[in-house]
Amino acid sequence: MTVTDQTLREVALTREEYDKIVALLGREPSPVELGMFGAMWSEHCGYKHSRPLLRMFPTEGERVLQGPGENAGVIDIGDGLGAAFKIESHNHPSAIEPYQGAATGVGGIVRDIFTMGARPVALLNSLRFGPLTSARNRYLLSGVVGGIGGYGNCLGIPTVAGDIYFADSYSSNPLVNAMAVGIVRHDMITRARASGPGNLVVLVGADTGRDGIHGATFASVDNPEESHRGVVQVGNPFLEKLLLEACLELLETDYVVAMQDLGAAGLTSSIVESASRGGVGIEIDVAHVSRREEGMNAYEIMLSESQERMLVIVREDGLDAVREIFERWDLNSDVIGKVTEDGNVRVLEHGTVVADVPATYFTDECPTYVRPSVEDPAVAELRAFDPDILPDLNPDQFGDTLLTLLGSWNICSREPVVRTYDHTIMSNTVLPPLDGDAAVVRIKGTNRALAMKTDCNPRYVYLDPYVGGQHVVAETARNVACTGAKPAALTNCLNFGNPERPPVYYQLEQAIRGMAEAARALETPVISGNVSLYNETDGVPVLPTPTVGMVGLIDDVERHVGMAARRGDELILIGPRSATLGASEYLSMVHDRVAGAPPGIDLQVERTVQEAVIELVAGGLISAAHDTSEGGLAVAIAEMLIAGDTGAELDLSPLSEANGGRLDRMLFGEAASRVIVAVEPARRDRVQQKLDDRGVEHLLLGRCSGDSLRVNGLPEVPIEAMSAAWRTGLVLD
Amino acid sequence: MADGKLFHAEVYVSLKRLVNDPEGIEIRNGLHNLGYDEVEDVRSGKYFQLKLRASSRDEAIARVNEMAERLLSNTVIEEFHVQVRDSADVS
Amino acid sequence: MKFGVVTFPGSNGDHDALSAIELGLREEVAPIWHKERSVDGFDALIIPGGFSYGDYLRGGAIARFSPIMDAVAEFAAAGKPVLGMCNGFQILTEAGLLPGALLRNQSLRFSCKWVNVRVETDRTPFTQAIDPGTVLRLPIAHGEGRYFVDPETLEQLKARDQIVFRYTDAHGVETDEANPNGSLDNIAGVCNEAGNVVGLMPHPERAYDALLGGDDGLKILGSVLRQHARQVA
Repeated sequence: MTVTDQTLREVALTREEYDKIVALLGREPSPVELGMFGAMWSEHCGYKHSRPLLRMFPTEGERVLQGPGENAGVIDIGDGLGAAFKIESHNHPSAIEPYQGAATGVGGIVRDIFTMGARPVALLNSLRFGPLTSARNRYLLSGVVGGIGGYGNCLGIPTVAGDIYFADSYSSNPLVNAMAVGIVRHDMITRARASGPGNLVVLVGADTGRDGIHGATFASVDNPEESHRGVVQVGNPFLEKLLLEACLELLETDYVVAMQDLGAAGLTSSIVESASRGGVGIEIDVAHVSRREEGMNAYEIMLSESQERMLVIVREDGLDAVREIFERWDLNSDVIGKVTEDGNVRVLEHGTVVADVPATYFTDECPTYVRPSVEDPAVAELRAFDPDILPDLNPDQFGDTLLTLLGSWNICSREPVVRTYDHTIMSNTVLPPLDGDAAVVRIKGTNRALAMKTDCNPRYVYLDPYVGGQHVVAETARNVACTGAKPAALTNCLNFGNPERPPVYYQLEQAIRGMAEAARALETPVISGNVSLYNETDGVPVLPTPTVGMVGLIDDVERHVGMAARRGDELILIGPRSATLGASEYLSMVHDRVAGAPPGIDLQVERTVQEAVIELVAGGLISAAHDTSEGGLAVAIAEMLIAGDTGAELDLSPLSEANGGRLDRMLFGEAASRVIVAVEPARRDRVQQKLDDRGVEHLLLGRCSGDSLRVNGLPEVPIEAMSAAWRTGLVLD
Repeated sequence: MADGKLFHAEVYVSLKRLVNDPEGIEIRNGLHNLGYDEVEDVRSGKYFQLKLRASSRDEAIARVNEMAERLLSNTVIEEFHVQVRDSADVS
Repeated sequence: MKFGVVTFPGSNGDHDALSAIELGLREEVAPIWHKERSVDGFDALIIPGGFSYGDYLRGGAIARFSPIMDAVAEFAAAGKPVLGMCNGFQILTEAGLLPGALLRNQSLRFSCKWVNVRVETDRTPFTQAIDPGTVLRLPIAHGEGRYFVDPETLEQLKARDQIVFRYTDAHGVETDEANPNGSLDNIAGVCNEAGNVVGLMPHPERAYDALLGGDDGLKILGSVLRQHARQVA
C-alpha cells in the first residue's frame, strides 16, 4: 500500500514528509488523514520555511495583549479597549479570478478579526501588479479593485488606506494583501483554544461545497495559472455580515469557549488548530455538516474551503441560547462534534472513523526547513552600481521630469481606485484616503484615534534585503507618525518566491533580519502576520515584498494633520539633507535602471525625527506633514502643494553640497528619515526651537504662495500642470 | 414541498427600451474592440432558472409571471419574459 | 421626539443613523428590527443605508417585503415623517412609497466622495428648516444611485414640488460634472405627493461632525424637530 508520486503531488508532500508521517503514526495514513496532513503541512498553513526565520521578530511589548499565534494580534489602546489587526495574502487565487480572489481575501481577513471578538472598523490593502501597458495587468487591477470594494463595501467596513505598486516581476504573480483592524473590549477578547471536554463543536454559516479543495496546497506551488484551475470560491459578503453580527452578539453571552474561522484548509485547520492550541482533542462526524452538493465524502468535507463559515466551541448548557441567536440572524448551524480529553483529532463518517491523529502531529510536528542562503551575485553587482557616474539632470528638464514622475504609475494619484471604496461608512474616518500619509480613524466613545498604513518598497528590498527590510518598517512607522500618531505595533505579509532556491531564501532571511532590527529600534513589535511563498512563474520570482501594516495611536483625535500645505505656510525639511539615486524611482524612470544601493538608514535618527513630528502635531504647531519617498524631495513637495492647491517659492541650494553638487540627487534622490512640514510663519521659530531641542536636522525651504512651484535657478512649474499630471496617471478600465 | 408535476421556468429580465443601459453600451464597445464590428446593439439583463411544482403548465406559467412581476423584476424600469417547460422536456 | 431606525439583515447605515441622531442631534433614537410588526411610539422613521440582503437581485428589492414594511406604509399613509437614505431610498422606491427607481451608476462603478446638493423645497419635514436654494455638502457612497422615472412622471414630480434635492456645484448650479451617477435631471432626492416621505442617495447621517468632513447632515435630520405648522397640499 505504498503511496504513489502522483498522490503525493496532489497533496503537495515530499516523500520524506510522507515517511515522517508514517513514522509518527506507526502506520500508513488513511486517505483522509493524508489529505489533512497535506493541507496542514503545506507551506501556507505550516510555515515550513518561514517559522525558523520568524523567530527573529520582536513580538512583545507593553501594549501587546496578544502576539502572533492566534487569528489576529491585539494591542491595548487605552480606555479598556484593544485594537486587533492582521494582514493576509490571497495572491494565487487573485491571479486566476481577480474579483473573487480579492473579495474572498477581504472576507478571510475580516473573519480573522471578528473571531477574536473585535468589531472590524477599517480595511486596508496592499496590491502589486505588472505594468499597465499590458491588457492582462489592467484586467487584474480592475478585477482586484472591484472585488475589494464589492466585498468590503457590502460588509459596511470602510476601506481607508493602502498602497499599489507596479513592476515587471508581478505580471504573472500579482500580490493582493488584505488587512483589517478591529476594536475589542479587553474582556471580550476571544481565543481559538478549545477546552472543556464535553463542550460542543458547532459549525455555522454557509453550507459546505466542493469549492477550494486543495486551496492551501495550491498556494504553496509555483505557476498559479497552470496548476489547479477552479479553486477560486465566490464570496458572499451578505452572509459574512450576518455571521459577523451573530458572532459578536454571541460573545456577549458566557457560552462561547472558543471561536475559530475557517480559512485555508477549511474544517481541517480550524479543528486541528483549536484542539492543538487548547491541548485537547476534538471529535466530529462529517455526517452532521450541512452541504451544498450531493455525494460529498469525508475527504471533500474536511478539505473544502467554502467561505463564510465559523467554528464555535460552545458550553453544553449554552447550546439553546447560541442556536437562538443564530436563528435570529437566519444562519444555519450544526453541532458536528465535541471536545475530548485525548488530544486527538478524530473524524467520523456516519460513525466510522476515517481519521484519528494527535492534533499536535499536524502542528508542532510539522517539519521546518532551513535552506542554503546565498545572495544572487547578479544582484550584488547591481547594488554596486554607482549612479553618480550618470550625467546629471539638465536644469531645463526639471519641469518635464517632475511631471513625468508625478504621472508615473508608482507615484500618481490613486483616486480612481480609492473612489470605488466606501471610506465614510461607520462615521469614524477623520483623515480619509489620499489626504495624508496614513488614514486616521477615530475610536467612538473616546477622544482617541488610530492611524494606519500599509507599504513596502520592493525595489529597496530587492537590491539590499537587509537594508530594504529596515526601510519597510521605518517608512510605515514614519507614515503613521506624519499624521501625529505614535506607531504602536505592526503586522506583516511576506511575499517572496520559491524559498528552496538559495537567492530567495537569502532575501527572506535578510529582509526579516532588517525588519526585526527596525521594529526593535522603533518599538513596534510584530503582533501578527502571514507568509506567502512560491510567488513565481517559470523560475522568475516576484520582487521580494515584505509588506508591513503599521498601526499608531493618537491621544487627541483633534490633533492630527494631513499633507495639504496651505497658502502662506512655510515649508521645513526635517531630517538628513543627503539623498541617493540608488534604487530610486528617478533612476528607474529616467535612466531605465533598477540598480544602486538603496539609501542608508540610521534607526536612531529615524526614531528621533518621528518623535519630533509627533510632538509638533500634538502641540498644534504644524498644519501638514509628509515624508519623502519614491521620487524624492521634489515629488513630496509637489504632492503637498497639489493637495493644498498652492504654489511655493523655495530655495533648495543649501542641499546642494550634501548631494555632491548634483541636481538630480538633490531633487529626486531618495533618503530615509525625512519629513516636510508646513508651518504658519508665526510658529516657525517655535518649531525650529523644538527641533533644535531634539537635536534634529532641519532646513527652511521656503514659502507657499502663487500658483506655481518656483525653485531658485530652475524653470517654474504651474500647479495646474502638476495636478493634471498627478491626477490622470492611473486609469481604471 | 408542494405537490404536482415538476416544471422548469426561465425568466429573462431586461431594462425597458426607454431606459439608458450603459452596461449594454460597454459590452457592445468591448465586442467591437475584439473585432465584432457587426454588433449594432447590446441590451444587458438578468436570467433566472426556476425549478417548481404546479398542478398544470398553465398554473406554472401564471405563478411564474406573478413572481416575475412582484420580485424578479422592477416594473418601473424593467420588463420580463417567461418560458415554462415541463421537466420531461428538459434534457 | 423619538426616532426609529429600521434595520434589515445587511443594513450598515443603521449604526451611523443611530450615532448621528444620538450624538449629533441629542435626540432619542432606537433600532427597529425588520421582523417587528409595529412602529408604535415612534415619531419619525429612518430607513438607513447599507446593503440589505446584500443588494442581491436589486438594491432594496427583498427588504421591501419584510414584515415591518406594512407598519412603515401605514405610518407613511398617516402623514408622519419617513426618511430613507441610499439603500433606504431604494427600499422606499421598491415598496412604491416613493416614485421612480434607482439604477446602476452611469460609470458602472461604485463611487464614494463628497458632493453638493441643493435643497429644492422646504415643504417636507426634513427640509422645513432649510431655505430652498441652500447648498449642502454631503457624502455619497453607492454603486446604484442613478435616479430614473419616466417622462410623464417627471413632469408630475416637478408640478407637484416633489423633487427635494438636486446635485449641483458648490455654487448651487446644476452641471453634468456635479452629477455623480447620471441621475435624471440631477435628482438626488424626492418626496411623495404628500411630502412626508423623503428619499435621497447622499448620507446626511455621515455628515454630523466637522471632524468627519462636515455636519450639514444635521440640518436635514434636525429639520424634522422644528415645530412648524405645514399646509399639506
